Amino acid sequence: MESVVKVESLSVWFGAARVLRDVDIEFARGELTALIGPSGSGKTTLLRAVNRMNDLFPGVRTEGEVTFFLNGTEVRAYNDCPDVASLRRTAGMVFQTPNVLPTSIRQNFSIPLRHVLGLSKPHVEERMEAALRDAELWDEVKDRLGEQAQTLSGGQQQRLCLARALSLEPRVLLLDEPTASLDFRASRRIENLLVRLKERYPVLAVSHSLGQTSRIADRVYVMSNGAIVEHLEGEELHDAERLHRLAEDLF
Amino acid sequence: MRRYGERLLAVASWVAGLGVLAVVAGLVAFLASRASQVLGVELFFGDVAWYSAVFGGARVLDGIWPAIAGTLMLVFVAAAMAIPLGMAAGIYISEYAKGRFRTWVTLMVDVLAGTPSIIMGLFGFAMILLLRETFAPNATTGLLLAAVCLALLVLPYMIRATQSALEGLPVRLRLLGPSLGLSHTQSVVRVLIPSSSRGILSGAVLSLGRAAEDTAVIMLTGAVATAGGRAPQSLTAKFEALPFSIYVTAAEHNTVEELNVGFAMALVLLALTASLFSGAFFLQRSLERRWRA
Ligand SMILES: Nc1ncnc2c1ncn2[C@@H]1O[C@H](COP(=O)(O)OP(=O)(O)O)[C@@H](O)[C@H]1O
Ligand SMILES: [Mg+2]
Repeated sequence: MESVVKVESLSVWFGAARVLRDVDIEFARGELTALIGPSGSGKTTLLRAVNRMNDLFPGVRTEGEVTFFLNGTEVRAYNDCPDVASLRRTAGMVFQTPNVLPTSIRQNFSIPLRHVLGLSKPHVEERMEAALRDAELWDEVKDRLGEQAQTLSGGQQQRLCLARALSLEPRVLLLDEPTASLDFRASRRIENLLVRLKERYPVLAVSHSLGQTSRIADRVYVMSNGAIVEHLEGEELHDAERLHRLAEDLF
Repeated sequence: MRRYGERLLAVASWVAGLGVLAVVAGLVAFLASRASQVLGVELFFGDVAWYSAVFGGARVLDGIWPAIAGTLMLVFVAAAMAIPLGMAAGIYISEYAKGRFRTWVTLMVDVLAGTPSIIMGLFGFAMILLLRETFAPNATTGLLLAAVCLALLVLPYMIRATQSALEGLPVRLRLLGPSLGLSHTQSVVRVLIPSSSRGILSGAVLSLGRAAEDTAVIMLTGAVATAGGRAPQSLTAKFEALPFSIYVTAAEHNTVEELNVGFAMALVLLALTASLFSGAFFLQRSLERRWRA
């Protein structure tokens, strides 16, 4: 397997509470790697450790290392990271509840594209269209780009967030239960999208459902109490008995 | 029993809401009825033509125009200092200051907010005395000094409003900018400040209103009962201002008609602040629309 991101002996504390304990995971090109575990087990924290989003909370402390392997160069996220903002751009992130800017659909793209990448207006339009097509949203919004993003349905908003992440040309995708707030059809739609996108972007996704995981994941890490307690890949993911036991342990 | 309590609470809330409306309406009606007896062009400009008073610098000796112009200039100069500075300080405290220093700055803002306006006036007055005895023997009270003291008076409102508008934003918005690769400052400027512009506006409105009505500060820092019948001619000139003129009229009127002029000035002051508020409101709305579009 060709690792793109490698997390090594990662521990995170919020104040005195240790939320992650010596976590080692890696995820690879062409794969969708899923994180599952009971609520409060540290999945979100682990995901946010990859692009250093935990740093935004007061009283957080992180030990260990996250290394990105990009075009033969290694970028370390923690010890002597040259530029945290560009590290974060390298990882496209989608949150658990749709996190659109309270602006028009177009502004949701042009604010990051203009201020992070410094693109001019025509380039912003080009990128936006390409990304919206990628996220299978273009046909639904192409006539209403000036409308408020919050007027879209939950599923559309989540695809908008995915498109916005894609428009910044990330190297990996980090998704935090992207379908948790959606209904069945909207969830399936995003799942199918992810299956297609994982060919181009290594994906690390937190999932709240074992069913979803076995449908779309190539590799699964199971978390409990801030530690990785199990690692499944390949055929193991379709071993019904094993999944059943896992489900009983977890939920 | 619980039902009964809930209903009582609902009724009480309605009564309180209607009560506020009734009080405001009563106040305005009272002012209007007293003011109506003197309301007219002469109230503003006496026997001088309005255009020569406003544009020609003609002296208005028995009209309230100089006080209106004085108040407008005062509020404008004070707001021009307090609003940007207060916003900047609020942004700093909410988004940049850390640890013990932040606690200290917050405490100082509290102290400033708790300072009575008469103290602010005394402070301005004492400043002039000090300046006279040191390196500016000709320093005197005037418009600029009054505006500076007013700005100090309203600064904490502006800081508080900005700070709490920013701190009240949902965590998800705070995470969004950085997750897209915006730097901290970019996230503050492009996402957080626009998202909190309504709260910041309410601080500006409060500041404008407070600066327009305060009497204690300007009384000690350069307001006079008659300033030659013209709008303030320079930043160091003595000036007339509506609240001070109202105060003087109320204290020294000889006839009912003079007192009615005082009520008319109160009504004008109310209208003036209302139009300042709507100016601020429309400015904020148009900025917000530009950001959202
Ligand atoms: N910003 C934070 N400050 C303090 N504690 C936090 C913070 N974020 C998460 N935690 C704590 O860390 C633990 C793991 O949370 P999280 O990573 O959100 O779990 P999961 O995503 O698996 O539900 C929880 O006990 C939670 O209370
Ligand atoms: Mg979570």
